[in-house]
Amino acid sequence: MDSKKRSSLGSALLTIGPMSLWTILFFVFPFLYIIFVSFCSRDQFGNIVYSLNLGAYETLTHGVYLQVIWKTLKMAALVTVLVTLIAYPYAYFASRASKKVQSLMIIGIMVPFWINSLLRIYAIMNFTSKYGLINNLLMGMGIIKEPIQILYTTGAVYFGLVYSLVPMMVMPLYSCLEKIDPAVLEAGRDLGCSSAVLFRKVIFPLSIPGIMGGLVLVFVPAMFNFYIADALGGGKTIIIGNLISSQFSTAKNWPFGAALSVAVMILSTIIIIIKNKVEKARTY
Amino acid sequence: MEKKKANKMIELISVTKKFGEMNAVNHINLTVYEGEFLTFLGPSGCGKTTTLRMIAGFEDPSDGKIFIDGKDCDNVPPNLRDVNTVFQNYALFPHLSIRDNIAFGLKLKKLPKEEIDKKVDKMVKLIKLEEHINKKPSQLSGGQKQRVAIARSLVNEPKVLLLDEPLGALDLKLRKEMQIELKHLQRELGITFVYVTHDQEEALTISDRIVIMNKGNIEQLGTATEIYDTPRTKFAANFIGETNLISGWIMEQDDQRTLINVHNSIMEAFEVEKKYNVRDKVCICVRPENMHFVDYLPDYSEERYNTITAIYDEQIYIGNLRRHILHTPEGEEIKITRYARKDENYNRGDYVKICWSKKRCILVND
Repeated sequence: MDSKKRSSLGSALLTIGPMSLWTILFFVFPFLYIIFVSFCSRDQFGNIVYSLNLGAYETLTHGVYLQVIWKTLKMAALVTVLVTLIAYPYAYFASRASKKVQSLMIIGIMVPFWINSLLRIYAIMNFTSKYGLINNLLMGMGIIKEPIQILYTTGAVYFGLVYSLVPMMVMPLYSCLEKIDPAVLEAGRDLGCSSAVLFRKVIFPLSIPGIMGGLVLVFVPAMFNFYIADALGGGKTIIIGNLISSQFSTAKNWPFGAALSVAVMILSTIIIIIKNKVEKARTY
Repeated sequence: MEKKKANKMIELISVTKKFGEMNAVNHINLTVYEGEFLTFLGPSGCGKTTTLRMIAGFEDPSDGKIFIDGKDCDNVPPNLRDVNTVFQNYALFPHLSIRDNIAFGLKLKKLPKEEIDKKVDKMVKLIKLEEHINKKPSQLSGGQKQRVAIARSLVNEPKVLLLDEPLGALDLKLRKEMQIELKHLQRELGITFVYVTHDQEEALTISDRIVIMNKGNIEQLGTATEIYDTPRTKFAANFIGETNLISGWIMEQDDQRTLINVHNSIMEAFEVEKKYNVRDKVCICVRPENMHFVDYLPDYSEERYNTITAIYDEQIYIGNLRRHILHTPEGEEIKITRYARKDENYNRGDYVKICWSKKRCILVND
């Protein structure tokens, strides 16, 4: 009996042990450490001084930084809206297309997604640069005389964010739309819906869980992302993401970077809680 | 035969549906009368559901015409047809409450709110789901969901209600109850019901008339009694109820009787309605309750009965009835149904003389 218990404990350790160790070492520990650092301060050389205080959070409440947070939230919101506007029709048509077109459309969105995102951003930099593909093409066709500034503008940052986040919205939406029972749509038609009404009264309400899933997957990364703003915005666009990354690298202010990170984590937790609340209200 | 008002509600004229090379429905002609309960009965893949979907407007016929209440339905989408469908898997709107599910069609018609409420309340009372009105479909049982699906359609007062195996997902007891409920509903409301099922017992229980379909064709159309007593094809004979089929070929036919050679003994049938040529292959179709043991038939006479010898196999009790299974020397199975209190005493392998009335046998093409 006792030995049996011990062996089952052993096998439990064997199976979930490595994973738990991994999670504790590389996820729980850094997480706790960041929270801890956010309550510390730094000396003039950028070294962390382990004395607990709220200095970093005080810095956070300075107008400049609140503005950055506010700007980031607005940007993430706009990106989410744009992504949804692009992803919804795509997912909708994919879910209703023939099996063959369906898998082509999904592969079409997944393959770029599997390519390292930095590589994709470099590709965008390449063809939006001053003498890149787009400018050369436009000049060659005689539409413009001088190369126009595309790279290093806010527009380029938006484009980059929307471009990299569309798959995150398409996938949950597609799986949600695809699960809608065709008989339910037929029932809607049968009871008098035209195509537009069917969409408004049946398809859209049934796709809301997919949108909610996608919202989190798009909004949170849009808020955190730093390399897109750096690479395509030329560092001119300051958002939380690159503000944090600069605190840890060039500015050498780890406590402030950590405090910013904690603030963003709290924000995204709130978003997820809201999303879960909405989803729970719509369970069926 | 048709006692109903002869008002044509649905008319199918040479309706065909092709899926690729295959004719799922093959040039069928059919009239459904106002207020009748008509059932399409057949095995899966016989075209019954496809026919129903064409009437509903979910499928377009490849050929032929469909009229609903005199109106040509060519290119009329489902939302503009005066029919409603009850689906096999209920197809309720999962995001709406029971009340909103039932009110769905009425809201689309932009009826005043008080009128919608009144109609929905009446319908909910009819299906006895008053206390569940604010629940979501996922909180209901299968039988309750099906009632909601029926109410959701009926509340629109369609000219025709189409039901596609609506009870298929329910357990036997509930199914039997719902059959009766459906029949009562239909009688009360006087709406034309077109029903699809593969369950012959269900079809016999609820229908005014039954359409037996097989491989895209109508095998027979008639009341339950007509089809049971005088099946017109071997398929119809086999599909409705149990039957004994004894094959042979036509020897002679005059205007009083038909002679059939069954394994070199001559059988006589007083059926002359269907005309045959000599050597046509036929089956003699005898219901198990019309097949008798010669030993236990007091008024047996060779003039009135066809007699053959069969080999006894076994007996099965089915409540107040007892079924005897035998086989002919040629290997055809024979079933005889008798009241259980009779004390026949045969053993496996006994040679037994059995007979059937020359009046009570039907000939069908083999």
